[in-house]
Amino acid sequence: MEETKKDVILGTSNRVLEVDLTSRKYSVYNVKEDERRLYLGAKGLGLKLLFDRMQPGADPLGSDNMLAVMPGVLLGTGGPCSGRFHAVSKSPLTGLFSSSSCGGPFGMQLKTAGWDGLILKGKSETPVWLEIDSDGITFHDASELWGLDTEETQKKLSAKKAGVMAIGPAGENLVKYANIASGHRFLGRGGLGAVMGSKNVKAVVANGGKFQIQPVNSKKFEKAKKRGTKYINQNEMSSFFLRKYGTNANVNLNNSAGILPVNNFSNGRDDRAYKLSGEVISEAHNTQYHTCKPCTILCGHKGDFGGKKRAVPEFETTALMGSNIGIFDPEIIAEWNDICGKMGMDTISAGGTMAWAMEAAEKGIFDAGLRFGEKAGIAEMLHDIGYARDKGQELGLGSRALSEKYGGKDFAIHVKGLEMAAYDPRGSFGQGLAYAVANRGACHLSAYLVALEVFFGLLSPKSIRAKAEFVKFFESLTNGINSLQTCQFTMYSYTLEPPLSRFTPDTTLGILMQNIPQLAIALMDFSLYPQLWSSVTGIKMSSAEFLKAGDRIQVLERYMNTREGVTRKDDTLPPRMLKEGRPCDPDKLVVPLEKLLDRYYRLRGYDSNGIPKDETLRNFGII
Amino acid sequence: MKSYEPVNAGRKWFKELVSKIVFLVLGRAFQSAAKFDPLIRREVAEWREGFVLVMRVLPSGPVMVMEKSGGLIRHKGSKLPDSADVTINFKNIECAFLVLTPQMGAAQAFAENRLSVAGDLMYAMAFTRCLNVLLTYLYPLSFITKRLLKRIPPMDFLKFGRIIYIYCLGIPFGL
Repeated sequence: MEETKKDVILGTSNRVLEVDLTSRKYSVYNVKEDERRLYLGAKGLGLKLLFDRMQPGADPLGSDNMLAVMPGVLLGTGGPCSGRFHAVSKSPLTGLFSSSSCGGPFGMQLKTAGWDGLILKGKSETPVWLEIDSDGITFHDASELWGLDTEETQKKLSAKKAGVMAIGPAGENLVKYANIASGHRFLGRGGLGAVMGSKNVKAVVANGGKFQIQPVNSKKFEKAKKRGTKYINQNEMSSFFLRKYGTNANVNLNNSAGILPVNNFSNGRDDRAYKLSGEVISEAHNTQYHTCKPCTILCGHKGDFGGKKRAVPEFETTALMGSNIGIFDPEIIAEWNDICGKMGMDTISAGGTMAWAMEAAEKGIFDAGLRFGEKAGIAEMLHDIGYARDKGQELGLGSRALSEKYGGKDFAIHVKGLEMAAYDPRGSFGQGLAYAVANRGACHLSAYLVALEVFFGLLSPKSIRAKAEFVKFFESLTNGINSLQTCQFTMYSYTLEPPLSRFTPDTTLGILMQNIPQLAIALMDFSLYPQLWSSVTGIKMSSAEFLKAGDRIQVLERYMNTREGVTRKDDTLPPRMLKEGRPCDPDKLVVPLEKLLDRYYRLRGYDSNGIPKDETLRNFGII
Repeated sequence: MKSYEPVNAGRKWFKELVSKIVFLVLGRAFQSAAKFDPLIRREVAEWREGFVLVMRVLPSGPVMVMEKSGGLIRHKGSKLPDSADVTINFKNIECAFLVLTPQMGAAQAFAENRLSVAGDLMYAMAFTRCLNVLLTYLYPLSFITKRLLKRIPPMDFLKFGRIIYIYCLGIPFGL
């Protein structure tokens, strides 16, 4: 019963493993201090490394695309909600740079094997799985694993202390929204699983545990950690709603605000939605915790569904594979969620694409045999998508490609090719702007304005005032959080629980945010994030520098995408959001996007066409 | 990357004393509740004869040993056995103090990597389920248990009687 003695990494190792799959050779890249300071780690550093290594115009499914898997500096330190890592690549679904975050065990194992990142480039001739330890990498033949689902693959490869990252049949068959599984968590969006599949890599296994990660300034870190834990346990959203009901706590909030997607976003409210709520699921399905590790919030749950223990679907899945296709039965949604998990594909894009197919069938454009409100055929279709069979092969292309092929662009609910998450922007204008300008497409995690507009009521949801300022601020803050990396749900507690926000009455806070957003942002205390980062790395960083690093990451990603052809024309919303009112909204409002865009571009330092100006790029040291 | 010699932490005698007392209370209460609570009885019945469960505070803190003998689960004191079927380790005395005092539930401690399990996870999960039931006896006040458990079972006359039994006979005399 003795603990094994471990070597210590003080701060972070700064070693990135670069693997050339074509020649089966690897090298080690040492991250420079200014790269670390300017791009923080995880998402930011991953983008920077790809920016330095990739040429514009690379084929997302070609050998010249790269996949960077990056744990941040916080992983392995035991910081609150730090059990997450990031991946960056060019998305086959959007053709743009995309990133995704995951709470699975792979990141921790990679980090404690002494690596600060992994870059996969080139393409293996035959299917392989890779084994990483502190000395380097070994290539194994994966022909026996090819064809297995994510669960079976991980079972076959899981040694006692290994962290696995694996694709399922969807990744192998290059489904445009295939994801990567690690444990029961996923690098979900953007089709990174197809990138791995295109490189003939079935799985990557990291054998960690050799190193212990020790913050450079342990005292400062412990202090920050304690404060973070206190804030999380103090905040009602993180310590009550998310902990008790999971992300499905959002169902009732969204439904009552009229922003829950119903029948392919044709409505924003449904009387049956309560059946999908966290409150109902928690009681009816005897939910237990099922979280990332380490985690302090505990939003992940599993429960009893039809006699089987299954993961409780996250809110996005519940909405996109539930209300958005006219289904209000959590049991069947949990089953579909499991199928998507095993196939290895993103539930948001799968749900969004199926919703398009249902409406297309109603309009007589394209018939995949799916109908709103009917469960029949969906499980089979999900398998068909994963295995690229029959109509499933077409649905695996995503709603943008389908609408370009068959028509029906008006009701293809995507931005830049990425299907929209489960918040209707017609009832949350700030979220609409966030969707439109998000670098990876219709992403709710780029700037989560819906929290301020709907959950906390601090900003008026149907006004354009202060929206551009807060979208910019939250994009930058989120980039910082994703580059530490820690869980985005800490944002509720770390920004709303420090004394100034906590003891300012909501009314005052709302008036300030709505009317003097610059002042409200300047007064916002998010100092815990830079404190955590600098106590681990030993590099001093103020809140302003942290936010500027977030700005830099945003602009770099935008710049990388403009080199791929992105301009103002792409910063838009589905026509439905810009032209059609909804039955649940007596005012029949649509998103006044153009007014919001101009202001946002000015604040960001882009020209009127949405391209970062040279002075902006120089200011951030990008060129 | 340097290799450091481990530094021995200073002892925190008060927290260790509290942990020792709670381990004693927990062990005795478990032994007692396993006789009459149907859920705990069902779980324990699945365990093989001679099954040993250890709860300990790393690196060298207090220990609690439970063993199944004669069909019953018994508290075997605080001497670390040579081997155990399941060992539940608290990372350090601070983590143990948080869980045992009871400021944090076992599920949250596990999610925060404050607890680790060596041995068969199936048994560890069964023990966790028993522990959840046990906590409702030891801390009948809902303002305490709501921090530890996701769901709190309702209080009834029978349960109240069992609480009295555990506190009056189970913990002091191990009955």
